[in-house]
Amino acid sequence: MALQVGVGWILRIGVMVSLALESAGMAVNYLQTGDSTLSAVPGSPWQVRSGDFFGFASSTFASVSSRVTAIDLTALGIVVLLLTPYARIAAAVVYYAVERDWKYVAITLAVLSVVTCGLALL
Amino acid sequence: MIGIAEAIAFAIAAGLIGSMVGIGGALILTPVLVFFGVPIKFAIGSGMVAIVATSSGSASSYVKDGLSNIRAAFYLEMFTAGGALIGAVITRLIAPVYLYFFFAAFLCTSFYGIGGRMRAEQQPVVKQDSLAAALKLEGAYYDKPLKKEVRYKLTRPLLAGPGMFVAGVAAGMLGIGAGAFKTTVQELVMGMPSKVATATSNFIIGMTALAGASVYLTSGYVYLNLAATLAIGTTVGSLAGARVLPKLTNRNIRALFMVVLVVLIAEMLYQGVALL
Repeated sequence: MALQVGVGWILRIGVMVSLALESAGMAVNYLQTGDSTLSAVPGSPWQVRSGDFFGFASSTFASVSSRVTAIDLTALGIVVLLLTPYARIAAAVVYYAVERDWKYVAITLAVLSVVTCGLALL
Repeated sequence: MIGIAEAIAFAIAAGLIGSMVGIGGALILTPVLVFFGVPIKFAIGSGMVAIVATSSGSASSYVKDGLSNIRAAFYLEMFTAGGALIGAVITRLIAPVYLYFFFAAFLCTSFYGIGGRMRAEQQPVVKQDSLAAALKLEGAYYDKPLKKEVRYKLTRPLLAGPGMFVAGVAAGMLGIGAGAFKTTVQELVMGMPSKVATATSNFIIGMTALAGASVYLTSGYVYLNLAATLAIGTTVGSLAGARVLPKLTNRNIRALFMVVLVVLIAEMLYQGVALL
């Protein structure tokens, strides 16, 4: 039950914070540029450059801590969004380790490894 | 070029309709984005990021209500997350033209998914197999209409694994949740009660989408503005859908969705054939 409550809160807070950041980023962009279109063309500044997620996340955190732009705010929202399910599986690994439920430690670690592999390597 | 207002409106509508008929918004949104000229791989990549928000938002309330079976979800996520990674890598490698046809084919399976919502509840599992018992795959939830606690046991996790892997591959390839497919496997193979299957599938979709989204993000197939707009719109739409749902009749919702589905299938086939 404690895990369900914890996971529920992680999901709720993660989604709320990420949507708030994304909304703020889109609003700031509209107020600054007046552009009401989604410039979905290759090479646009909104396109995430290829590279691993953790590199994207750390460069976003570094950008936001020095100078906040509309794109940085939106990028931060996406980073928080993607870290939300990641955080809930990491929390599950810790919970089952504390409970000494080794079968589920192995299962949740397997899920965490697959997702980490996708975020870090591909 | 699609405007923010149009994208938000379509995303809200997709989230609304999707939550009413039990599918994710991306299945509806991707063909719409393609219609507005967004390259299909970018539409899939941005849609996949948006699914993380929609799924996590609705899963949080199901988890709070104790409806999701978290143990079953973690076990099944091993298969769906692996499948989604492989599916997304396939999409990265193949020519876009095939994706239109795969998408149209998967849209066709939604007809079965809607029929599935009318199926009778599965008979409860009386005897678990040894693996399900060892993994403690069982649970209980409070059924509001019945006004009582329902206890249930699950079975055949070994058989459900490959089924969920296939669902993961489809989800990763097409940037969708593949919720109807997942729910069907959980109900028919594992003997999961329908409500628990829907809630658990929602929970699993977030992790599946993260695995798939990671590939699209690291491959440069995500536009932040598009992904953010879709995430906001589909989440608002799905939350509104949960409130509107009890006031609408099932027949009207299904009729509306059937029309939408036929239009989307025609659109994807048209786009695919045009590229041949």
